[in-house]
Amino acid sequence: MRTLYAALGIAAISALVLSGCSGQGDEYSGSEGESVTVGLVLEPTDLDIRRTSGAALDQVLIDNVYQGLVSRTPSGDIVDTIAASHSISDDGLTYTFDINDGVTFHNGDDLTVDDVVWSLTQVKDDAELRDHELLSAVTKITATDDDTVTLTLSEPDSNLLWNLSGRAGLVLDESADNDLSTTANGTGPFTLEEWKQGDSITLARNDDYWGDAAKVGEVVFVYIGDTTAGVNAALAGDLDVLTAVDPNLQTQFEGTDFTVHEGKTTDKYTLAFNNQREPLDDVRVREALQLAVDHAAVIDAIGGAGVEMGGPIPPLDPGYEDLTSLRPYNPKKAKSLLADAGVDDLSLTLTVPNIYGTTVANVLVSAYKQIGVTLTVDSVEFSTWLNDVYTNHDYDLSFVDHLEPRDFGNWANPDYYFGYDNTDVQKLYTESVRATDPETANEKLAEAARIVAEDHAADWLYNALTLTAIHEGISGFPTDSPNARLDLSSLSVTT
Amino acid sequence: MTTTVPIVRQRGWARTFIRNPAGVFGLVTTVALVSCALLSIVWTPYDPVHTDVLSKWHPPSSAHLLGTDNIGRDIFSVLLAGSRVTLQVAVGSALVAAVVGVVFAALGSLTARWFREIIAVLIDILIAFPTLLIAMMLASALGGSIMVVIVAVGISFGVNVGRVSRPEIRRVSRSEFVTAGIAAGLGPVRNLTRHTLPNVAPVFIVQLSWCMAVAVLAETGLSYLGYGAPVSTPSWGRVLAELQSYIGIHPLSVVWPGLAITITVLGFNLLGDGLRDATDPRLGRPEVITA
Repeated sequence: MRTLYAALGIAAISALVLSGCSGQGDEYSGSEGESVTVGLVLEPTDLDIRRTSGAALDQVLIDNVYQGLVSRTPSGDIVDTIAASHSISDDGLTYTFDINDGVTFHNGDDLTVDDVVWSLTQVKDDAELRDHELLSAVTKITATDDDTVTLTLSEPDSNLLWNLSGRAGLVLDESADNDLSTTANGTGPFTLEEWKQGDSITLARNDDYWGDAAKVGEVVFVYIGDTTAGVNAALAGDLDVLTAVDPNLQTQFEGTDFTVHEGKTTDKYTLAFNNQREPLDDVRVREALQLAVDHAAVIDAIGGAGVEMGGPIPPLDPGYEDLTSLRPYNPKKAKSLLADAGVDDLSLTLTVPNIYGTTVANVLVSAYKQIGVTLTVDSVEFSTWLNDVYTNHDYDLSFVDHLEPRDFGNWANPDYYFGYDNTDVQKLYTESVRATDPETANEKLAEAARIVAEDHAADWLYNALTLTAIHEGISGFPTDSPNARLDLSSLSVTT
Repeated sequence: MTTTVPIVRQRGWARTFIRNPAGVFGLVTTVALVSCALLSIVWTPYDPVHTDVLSKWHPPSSAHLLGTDNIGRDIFSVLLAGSRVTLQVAVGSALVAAVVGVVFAALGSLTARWFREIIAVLIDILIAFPTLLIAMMLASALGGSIMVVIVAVGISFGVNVGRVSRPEIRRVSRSEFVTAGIAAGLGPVRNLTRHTLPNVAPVFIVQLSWCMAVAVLAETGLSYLGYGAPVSTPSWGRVLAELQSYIGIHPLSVVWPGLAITITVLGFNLLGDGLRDATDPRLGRPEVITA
């Protein structure tokens, strides 16, 4: 038995060594036919686009299978989709959408204005549906004629078009009765072919598509949760595209037929301070914690795939400005700020979901130790984080990725887990939402964001860049924000 | 007329042990582990939690004996400090296992027959739970910590210790000197501590050194899974877990914690073997134990 233990120890190490070495050979077999295999990380738990939360569903289904009145580009612009055009009245209270002719659902039904009205009304009326609250300013949804749908608002909402480009604006078939949890009947360039739960989702080209047909016959999304396994699968020739490549592993693609592309995201890796809890309710303490961290070193530690951000709004979102000068790396000043605040021997606990690894946590422990702050890291299951931090606000510091675009509203919500309560910010944010022209809306947002940053309400450690490894011969794969949306209508294979 | 009676001297167990190279290897690694742990309290080349991203992935050199990791920590310092956790877990588990083992063995051998039967069944049930499963159950209820590892390994291995020593205690408690003790008026507890346990001790010690090996593996395994030592505590299993994703690029960095774990586990096992060979009169009899 004792020799068995020794053997186990050796076997464990050999296994690790072997797992690292396998898959190094480049045996890429090429994309036969027109099928493209894409490696993704997070699988949706259910395909119900109306009721299941999570970006994993938007990523695969929106734009490809389901379409909305309008959609968004990876850089955040609004484009018409099912709507041929749209117009907004000067007072910002009436939105008019001209609907494209000849749009059909995958089951063969024609899309009518009634489907549009029904789809939007459902989200508006049923509080159980996802993004229901995003249509709260809308009072009336009507079909003014066979080609036109009009939305009437109680007060201007500068976010409405953006919201309609998400789930709230999707158009579904009123007369279909398919099970949304496992099937999908949309209008997009791809149909949902198969979902092998725990493994993959297959989309097939919709040959009766009303617009320009997709350029590939089939797309298979393969879910690989482990980043090392993902890289190995790509190198072994099982994948044509791998999204979310671990920055530390990207060198493994050197000298292969894969090219690693860097894309922008709205992923804000946020070290939240509990603004309600002593001594973090003191702005000097929060500033000290922010000045203690060398943000360039944090980005270097995670493999370089990030850009510094000094405030709550990332470069892809409206209202962005570079605020990094508000928190230069200055441990000396940090120490004196703590002394001013009368805080010594400070011990804090960082609650972090275990999916985020330990690299950043280790860097923070070291950085805070320099200014005399003891950081204990509590690595927890994501569900524990949701319960303790997100729901019960029971935490000192928390570290998660806030990947949602345009989520500044969290800073204007004192009940959010940040516990940040500033009436100026709340007022500015409301003014931004009510603004009828985009410039005013963005200026107000930028102003509010600056206040939040000057309050050091959190430490925005970095805005992540995302890496996508794409095999030679594959083009048209979106590399910006691929974790939020993957519009594959221009994906093509050249051999 | 005098006849010289040849004096037959039995070799002492220590002498037998010293002649066994495997046992000596086990002893040396154990002493080395203890020394490393003690040394790390007063000195490590660098602060084991200090990160310096600018000097990440330095290869082994005179400045960094085993190189640096992905965030520029000195791997040698981390391993040195990590030996404290390893030693804590090994010793702690052995102590818990000893207590659990004695209780089970005593209750299972010196009480009324019906009670002994119940204890025997209970031991069999507890043995059916793998150590890691018990540890993960405790960790998910109480949160991961070194204490959870110690208690989990201690309980699950203690049951083993109890099972193995139960017949030993029964055998010894029937011997004449114990009966003499009873005749002299010693109570059952005093008799157990005075006469029975010292005679069962060799079996115990051997079992406990194996328990240490299991504990080290369990700690590294649990830390690897994220249930063991907290993030900011240097531990061998944690280092292994943190560096394993770089194994394709910096394979050497994972070899060091792996070697430390392997040698330590091997050392505890061989120490147990050596002690058994030296103390067990029925030499060479293979023990069957399960973790």
